[in-house]
Amino acid sequence: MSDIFMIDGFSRLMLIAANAVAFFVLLYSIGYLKGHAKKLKYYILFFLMLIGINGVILTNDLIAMFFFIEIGTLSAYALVAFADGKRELEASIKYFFMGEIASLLILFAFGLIYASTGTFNMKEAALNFPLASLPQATAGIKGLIALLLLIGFGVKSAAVPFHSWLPDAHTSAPSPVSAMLSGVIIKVMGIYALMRIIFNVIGMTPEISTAMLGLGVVSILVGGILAVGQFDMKRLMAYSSISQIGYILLGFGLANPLGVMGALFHIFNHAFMKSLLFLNAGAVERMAGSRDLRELGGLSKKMPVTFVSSLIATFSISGIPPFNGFWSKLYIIVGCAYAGNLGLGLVAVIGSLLTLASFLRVQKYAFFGELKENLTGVKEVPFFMGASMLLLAIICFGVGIMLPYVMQFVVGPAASAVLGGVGL
Amino acid sequence: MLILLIILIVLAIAAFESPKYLYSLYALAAMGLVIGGYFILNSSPVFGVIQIVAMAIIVFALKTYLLEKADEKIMPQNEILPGLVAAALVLLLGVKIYPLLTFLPSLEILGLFLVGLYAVVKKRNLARMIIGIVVMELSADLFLSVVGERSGIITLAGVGAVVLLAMLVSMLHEKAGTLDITKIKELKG
Repeated sequence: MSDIFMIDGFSRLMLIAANAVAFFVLLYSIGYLKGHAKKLKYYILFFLMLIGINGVILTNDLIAMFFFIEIGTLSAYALVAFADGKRELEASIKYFFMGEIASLLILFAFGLIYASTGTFNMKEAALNFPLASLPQATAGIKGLIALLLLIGFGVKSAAVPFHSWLPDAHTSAPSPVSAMLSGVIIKVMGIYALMRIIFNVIGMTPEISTAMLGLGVVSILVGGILAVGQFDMKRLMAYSSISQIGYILLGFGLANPLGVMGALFHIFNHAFMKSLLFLNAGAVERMAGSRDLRELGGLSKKMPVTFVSSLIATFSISGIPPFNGFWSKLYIIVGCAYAGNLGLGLVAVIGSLLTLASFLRVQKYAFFGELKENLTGVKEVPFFMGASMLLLAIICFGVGIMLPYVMQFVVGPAASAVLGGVGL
Repeated sequence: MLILLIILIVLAIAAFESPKYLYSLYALAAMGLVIGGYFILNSSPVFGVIQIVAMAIIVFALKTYLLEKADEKIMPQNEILPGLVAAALVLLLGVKIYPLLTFLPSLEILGLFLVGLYAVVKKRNLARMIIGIVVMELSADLFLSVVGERSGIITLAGVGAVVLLAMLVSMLHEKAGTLDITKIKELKG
C-alpha cells in the first residue's frame, strides 16, 4: 500500500483545507436540504466526491490519481445537475464534455510518462527520467507531457482560456456544491495534481514557468474584469474564482520560495473564503428568494449572521489587512518583485482592486441601502447554516491573525515539499 | 494494419453521419484491443474481457438512453452482425502484419483522437457529440494498451463517464425536446 499512497507537507495542506471545507459545507447542507426529497442521493454523491478528492491528494500512483479524478469529477457533474432543470442539465453537460476531453489529455500525458519511464509510480518515474538514454528526446517528450498537462489541468482548474464551463456549472449547482466546486474541486483536481506532477515528477523548466505565468496573468485580468459586471451573485463569485486561480498559477509559475509559499497559502485561504461566499449567496437565495443583485437590498438588518460573515469574506478575498487573503497576495506580490518582474506584481495589484470592486458591489446591492418592500418578511437562516458560515468566517479571520503559526506548521512544510524538486 | 487504420477512421467519421456504423466501430476496436492486448503485448486476458464488457455496457447505455430518443431515426436494426464479420476479416488481415509496422498505432491513436475531437467541437447533435467522446476514449484505451498495462481500470472509468453522460443528455432531451444544442442554448458562457 505504501507504494500507492504517500503523504508530505503539500498533501497535508490540501487535506486540511479540503476536509475542513467539506465539513462546514456538510454542516450547512443539514440546514439547506432540510425536507428535500433527494437528500440521500445528494449525500451519496457528496461523499463519492470526497473520496475522489482525498484519493487525488493522497495517491502516489498516476493511474490511481486518474481514477480518483474521474470519481470526483463524475460525482461533481451529477451534483451540478442535481436540481435537474433545463439550465442545470445543460451546464452539467457542458462541464462534462470539457472535463472528459481534459481527462483524456491528462491520461495521454500519464501514458507518455509511463512510456518514457516504465512506471506509473510518481516517485519512481521522477527518478527514472534522468536515466533515459536520449536526453534530447526526453526533453521533447517532457515538453509534450507538460503541454498536455497544462491544457488538461487548465480545463479542470478553469484557467482562462479554458474557463467557459465554470461560470455556468458553479451558478447552476446547489450552493453548498458550488462552495465545494469553487473551494476544493478546482484546486485539488486542477492545481494540486498539476503542481504535484510538474514540480515533483517532470521537474520545473523555464518554458513551463512562462506558460504558467501567462495563464495566471490572463486569468487574473479576464476573471476580474468579467466579475465586476455581473448582477448574479453566484456568477460574480464564479468569475472571481477564475481570477483567484490566476493568482495561484502566478505564484507557482514564479517558482521561487516566496511565490510558491504565497500560492500555497492562497490555495488554503481561497478554499475557506470562496466557500464561505458561496454559502452566503446560498443563504441569501434561500431566504430572500433571489440572487439577482438588482432585486436585493438592505438585508444587513434582516440577516445579521450572513451579513457579518460575508463582510469578513469580502475583506479577506479582496486583501484587506489583517485578513488572510492580504497575506497570501502579499507573498505573491513580493515574490514577483523578488523575481525582478514588477509588471506581474502590478497585474496582481490590479486584480486585487477588481476583486474589491466586484465584492463591494455585492455588499452595496445586497446588504446595504434601503430594504426593498418585498423583502420585509425575510428571516435569518436556520441554525446549522448560520453556524457553518460563522465558523468559516472565524477561520478566515483567525488564519490572518495567526499568520506565523500557519506559515510555520502548514504552509512551510508544503512549500519545502513543492520546492524539494523531483524525486519527492 | 494500414487497412485497419483507414477503416477505423472512416468508420469513426461515418458513425457521426449515421450511427449505425457505430457498432461496427465498436466491434473493430474491441477486437483490435483484445487481440492487440492478448497476443502482441502479452497483457492479461482479464483486460480483454473487461474491454468487451465495457463495450457492451456503452452500447447498451447509448441504445437505452439515447439513440431511441434522437430526433431523426438513427436506431440501427440489423447492422451488428455484418459489422462483426467485417471487423473479424479486417483484424485477421491486420494482425498478420501488425508486428512489422510498430509506428502505425500512434497514427491510429492520433487519428481517432482528432476525429473524436472534431465531432465534439463541430457537431450540433448531442448524440453525435457523445459518440465523439466514445471515439476519443477508444483512442486513449488503444494508447494505454500500446504503451503498457493496467488499462482495464481506465476503461471502467470511461464507461462510467459515458453512461452518466448518456443519462444526463436523455434527461435534457425530456426537458428540452431536442438534442440540437443550437436550439437548447440558454447559458451565456
